[in-house]
Amino acid sequence: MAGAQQEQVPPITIHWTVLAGDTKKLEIAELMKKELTQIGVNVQIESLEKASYFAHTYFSPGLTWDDGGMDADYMGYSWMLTDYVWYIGCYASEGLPPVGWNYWAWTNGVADNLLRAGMGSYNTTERLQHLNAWQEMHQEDVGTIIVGYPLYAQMTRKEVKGYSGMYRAYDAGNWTVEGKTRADQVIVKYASHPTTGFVTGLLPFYLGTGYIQQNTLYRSLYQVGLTPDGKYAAVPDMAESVEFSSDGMAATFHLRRDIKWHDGVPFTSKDVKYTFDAILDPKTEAEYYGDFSAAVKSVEAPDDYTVVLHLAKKSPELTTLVMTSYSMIVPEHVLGKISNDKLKTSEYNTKTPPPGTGPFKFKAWTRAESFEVEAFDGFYRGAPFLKGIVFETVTEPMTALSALRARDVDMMDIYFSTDIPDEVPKVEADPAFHVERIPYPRTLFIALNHKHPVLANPLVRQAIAYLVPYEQIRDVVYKGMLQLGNSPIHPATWGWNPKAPSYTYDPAKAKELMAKAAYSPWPPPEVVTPEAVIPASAYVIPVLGGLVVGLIVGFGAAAVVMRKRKAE
Amino acid sequence: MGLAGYIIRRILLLIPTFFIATAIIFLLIHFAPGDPIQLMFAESGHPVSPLIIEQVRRELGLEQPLHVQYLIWIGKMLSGDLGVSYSAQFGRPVLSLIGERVWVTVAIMLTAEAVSLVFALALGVIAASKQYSAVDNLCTVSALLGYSMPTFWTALVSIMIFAVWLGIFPSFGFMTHGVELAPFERVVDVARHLVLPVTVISFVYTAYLFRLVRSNVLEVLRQDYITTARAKGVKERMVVYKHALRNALLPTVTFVGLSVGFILSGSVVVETVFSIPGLGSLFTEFALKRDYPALMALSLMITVMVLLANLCTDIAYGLLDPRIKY
Repeated sequence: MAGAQQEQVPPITIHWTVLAGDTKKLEIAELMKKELTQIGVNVQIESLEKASYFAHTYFSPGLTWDDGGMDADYMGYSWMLTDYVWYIGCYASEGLPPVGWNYWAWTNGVADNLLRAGMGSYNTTERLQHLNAWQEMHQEDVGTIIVGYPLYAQMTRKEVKGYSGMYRAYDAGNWTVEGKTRADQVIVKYASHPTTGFVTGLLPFYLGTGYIQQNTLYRSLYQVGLTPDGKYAAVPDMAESVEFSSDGMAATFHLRRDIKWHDGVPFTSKDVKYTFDAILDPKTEAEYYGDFSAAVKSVEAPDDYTVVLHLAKKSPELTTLVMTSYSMIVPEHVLGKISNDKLKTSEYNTKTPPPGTGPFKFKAWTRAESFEVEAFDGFYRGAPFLKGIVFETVTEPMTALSALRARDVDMMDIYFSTDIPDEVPKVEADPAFHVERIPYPRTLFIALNHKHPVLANPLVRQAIAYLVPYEQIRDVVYKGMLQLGNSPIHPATWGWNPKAPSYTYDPAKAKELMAKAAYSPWPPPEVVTPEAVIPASAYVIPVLGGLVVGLIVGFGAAAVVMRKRKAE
Repeated sequence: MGLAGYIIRRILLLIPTFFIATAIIFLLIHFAPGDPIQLMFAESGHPVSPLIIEQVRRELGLEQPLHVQYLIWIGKMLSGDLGVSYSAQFGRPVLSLIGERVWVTVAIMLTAEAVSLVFALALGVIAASKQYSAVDNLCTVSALLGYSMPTFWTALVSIMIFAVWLGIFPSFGFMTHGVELAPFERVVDVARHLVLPVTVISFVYTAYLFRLVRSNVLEVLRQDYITTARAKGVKERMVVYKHALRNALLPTVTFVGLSVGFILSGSVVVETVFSIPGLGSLFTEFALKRDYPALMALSLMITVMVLLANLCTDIAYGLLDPRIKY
C-alpha cells in the first residue's frame, strides 16, 4: 500500500511563476517540480501572460503568491560589461522595486554592507576584497540560486569582418566586407531580434528597445573596450581622460577637440552639460534618471572642453554610467530650444533624430520593419567602410536564419542564438558562414522569495539549490549553450570571484539540510496497518455484480426495442 | 419595403451592436490583469523612480475611474480621436499607427480570399461532379493536408524551399530596404514579398472552403429537382453549374462572410513567421504591452470589419436566395 501514501500531497507547496510562451522557464519549472518532491515540496506551476507575470514578480516585491506576488521564479539579468552599476539595485535591501530589481527581497544586512563598501571605494584592491566576500556570502545565504551564464553566438556571412557581438553595433564604424572596397558602397543587412528590433523612440533618453540602432548614431564619453589582459573595461571615447577630486566627490572629464556633429557643428562641453542636465531633470522622464541621479548631483562646464560632475556619493562606477547607450550625448544646439517635458513627444524622438556624432547618420525608419543608417564621412575616428546598414526587424528566429541562408541578411543579432541553439552548430559547420561565440554578460538564476514562511530559512534555500539538475539544464534545456556559475557577477567582467562556492546536484545533501531545518523526511516511512489491507474479493464481488446487472439491463433494452420494431 | 429597406434596417441594427461590443471590449481590456505603466518600465530593464511612474500615470489619465475613462474614450472616438499609443513611438496617434499597417493585412486577406474562392469553387464542383474519381481523391487528400498542417510549419517550410533552396522569393518582410526602386519596380518588389504569405494562407483556407463546396454540391445533386432536370434532358453541365452550384453557394457565402475573423487570426501567425508588419503582429505587440488606446482602436476596427462582413453576407444571401423575404 506504499503507492497510496506517495499520492499524498507533500506538506509544503510553493507557487512557481512562469512567463507564458517562454519554453525555457517552463522546462526548468517542470524539472524543479519533479526534483523538489524529494524533499516534500510540491511545486505548483503558475503560467502567466506577460502583464500578470510582471505584476506578480517585479511589482510585488517580497509578497508571496498567496498575497499576489511569487514564491519561486526563474530569471535572467543582463549586466554592463565593466562595472557594478546595477548590483546594489538588484541585490541589496535598498533595491526593492520600483527603485531596484530585488523583487525576491533578499535582505541580508552583512551582505548589503559588503556590497556597499565595495561600491563606495576608489581603491581597486579594497573593492575587490569586499566584492569577493560579498559573492561568497551570496552563495552561502543563497541570495539567489545561480544556474549559469548563457553563451551567445553571432552568426554572419563569412565575408563580414571587423565586428564583435560584445559591442552591440557600437563598433559598426569598423565593420568591413571581405573582397570589397569602400568604392563598392556596400550595404550590410542586420536581422534585429524582436527584443531589439522594435525601436520605440530615437532619443537615447528613451531608447528602451532599439539601442543597437542608436549605437550607430550616437557616441558617449566612455565606451566598452578590451584591455590588454583580455578583460572588458570602460575606455575613453568622446572624453580623453577623467580625474577624480581628492575627496572623491567630483570628477573632471577632458573632452576630445576633433569631434563634429553630423550637421558640421563642433561638439563641445555645452552638449555634455545639456545631456546630463536633461537626464537629471525628472520632467524629461529619462529611463536613466534613477541610476544617474543616485550618483550625480550637478554638472558644470568651466570651458569648452572640460566637464565637471559633482557627485552625490563616491562613485567608482562613474565611467560606466557615462558609457552606456543611455547617457549618449545629444546636441544642445538642436534640442536646447525644446523644454525637457516636451522631448519625449517631440519629432526628434518620434520621426527624425537630431544629428549625432557616431559613424553613421540616420536615413530612414519604418516602425516594426526597418531602420536604415548611412555612413558619416566626418566621423572623428575615420569614415566607415560601409556605405550603410539596414536593420531589419525579424520576428521569428527560424525565419531570420533562413534569411541569412538565402542571403537576404548578412548578420543576425546574438539573441537569436538562444532561441534556436540546435541550429548554431549547423551554421558553424557551413563554410559560407562565420559563428562568433561570445560570453555576453547575463546571469541566469532562480529567485526564491525570502519573505516566504518556508523559503525564508537559508537551510531550505540551500536544500533547493542542491536539487537543481544543473548539468541537465545545461545539456538538455540549453543544448550546451550555457556555462554553469557560482556568482551573480559574470566571469567575463571585472571582479568575478572564481573561488565563490558553487552548488551541484546532490539529493542526499538536500535531504540532510531539510532534516537539519527540522522538516520530517519525505515521503514518510511506510506504515503497514493490517486493517488497511483489503482482500481481493472485496473488488471481485462488486465488479462481477455490476457486469451481471449491466448485461440484464442491456439485453432487456434490446428486447424491448426489437419488439417495438416488430410491432411497427 | 424591398431590398433597400432591408439593408437600412440591417444598418440601423449595427449601431446598438457596435456600442455594446465596444463597451464589452473596453471592460475586458481594462480588467485583464497587468498595468501598462509597469510594463513600460519593466521592459526598459532599469530601476525607475516611483516619481516618474506616477507622473506618467497622471499624464495618461489612468488614475480616473473606469466609467469616466470609457465615456472620455467614446466622446473622443466620436470626434475621430482614438488617442495616442502608450508603447509604440511616443505621442504617435493610434490611428496613424494602424493606418500604415492596415493595408498590408487587407491586401493579404483579400488576395487570399479571392485566390481561395476561385480554387475552392472550381475544384469543389469538379470533385463533386466526379465523386470518387482520381481528381476527387487527389483534391480531398490535399485538402486534408491543407487543414491539418499547422500554418506556422507550412510557412517555415515554404521559406525553406522557395527562399533558401530555390531562391525565387524573398525569405521575409514586406519590401526590400536599402535600395532605390522606381514605382513600378516597387510594386513588383512588394508583390514578390507577398507571394509566399498569400499562398500559405490560401492553402489552408482553400482546404476549408473546398470541403464545404464539395459536400454542398454533392448534397444538392441528390435533390429531386436535379433528377427532374436531368430527366427533362438538360445537359449535365447546365445541371451542375446552373441548378446545383447556385444553391450550393449559399452556405459557402455565409462561411466566407463569417470567416473574416478566421483569416485575421491566420494572418497573425503568417505575419509573425514572415516578419510582415501587418495588423496581426501589431495586435500581438499591443496586447502584450497592455497598450489600452491602441488595443481599443484595433478592436474597434476589427469589430467594424466583422459587422460589415456580416452585413454583406446578409445582403448577398438576399440576392442569391429568392425565397428570403425582406
